[in-house]
Amino acid sequence: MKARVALVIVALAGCSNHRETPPPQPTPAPAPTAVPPDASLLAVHMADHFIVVAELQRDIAVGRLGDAKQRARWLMEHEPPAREGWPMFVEDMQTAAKLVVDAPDLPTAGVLAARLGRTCSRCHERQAAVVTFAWEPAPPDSPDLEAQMRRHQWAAARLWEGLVGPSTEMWDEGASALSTSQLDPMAAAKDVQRGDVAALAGKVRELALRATTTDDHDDRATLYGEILSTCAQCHQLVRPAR
Amino acid sequence: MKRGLLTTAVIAASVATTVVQARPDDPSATLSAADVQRSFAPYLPEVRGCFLANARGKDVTGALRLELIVHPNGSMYRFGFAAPGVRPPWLGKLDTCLRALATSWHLPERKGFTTAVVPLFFQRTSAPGAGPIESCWDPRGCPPGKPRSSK
Repeated sequence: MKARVALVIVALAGCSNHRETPPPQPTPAPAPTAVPPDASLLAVHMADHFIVVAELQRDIAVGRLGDAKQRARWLMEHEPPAREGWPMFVEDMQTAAKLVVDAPDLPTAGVLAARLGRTCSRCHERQAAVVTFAWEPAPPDSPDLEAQMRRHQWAAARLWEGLVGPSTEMWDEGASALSTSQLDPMAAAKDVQRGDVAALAGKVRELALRATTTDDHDDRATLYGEILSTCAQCHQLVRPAR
Repeated sequence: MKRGLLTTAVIAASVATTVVQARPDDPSATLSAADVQRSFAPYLPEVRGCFLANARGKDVTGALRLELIVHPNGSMYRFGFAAPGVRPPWLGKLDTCLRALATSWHLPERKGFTTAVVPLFFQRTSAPGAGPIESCWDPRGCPPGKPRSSK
């Protein structure tokens, strides 16, 4: 499921400085001020952001901490287009990204990635941004492990979009799907302790159940961090990072 | 959050066979924020009408967040909203009003489904002839709690 997000601003209409000829009393030209980025530039920028942050948390889920840190470093170091009201949010985002860069392990990085996602949604809320994502219906549940994991991924993607949107509709949809999805530890854990996998799968379901009744966006971010960490731990058990 | 399916089972059933999967490198696969902003603008006055008529109560903040899943054919596949501070029975009335409107909303067609979050903010003012006004549609300014800057 590929998600896409774009935040659009309407570029200010260009103001032309029309002067009479000859000017009776020429006035000095106004000092240059920050010009808002044009809408397409900002849309591309926000799409880049969303892709990087989404990939970052996906890296954590599959156990690629190094890749996640590399993406976090990009977020930490690049400068977004200047825009009124942004500096505070950019600073928050860069601080959150730095914490991911410094994360000592995957579970910690999972928690911090969710906080990073919450900095996105705070900015969206404050800027009253229209946000869009690609969507597709949930894959069917089935006894097949591959299908089960596809459904897990679909649910996690909805939770993530619910977090960064923010969107209660997406959050509820993800929480509901994740809390009811099956996961067959017998199939998942051929060479590892099945009990460990079963415990982690149970924990994901329990966290997802809590997510169905969590309304506050900050609490949702905390919960998503726990879910992501649990996913990462489980994946580490059954499929160590390449 | 209120939610509900606005389409018939027939439409939902046809999705699997008629929808081309959206590709990430295809900008026309789903609606962009700009598409939504532009094509939803004509529906704003009726949304405002619903909100002003039904969002009552001392805790109403004026914020209304529409959360849409847009079918590839442009109709509303699913509709939800969040209106902080609006409580029953007004919440139900607002839901009924908005849901009735949503059945007639139509956005541009695309290959895939789009989720769209559309934040709105309605502010009552006591200045003569000045309100209530719709604001915060333009993402450049007027975030909730802050009046629109004069130009």
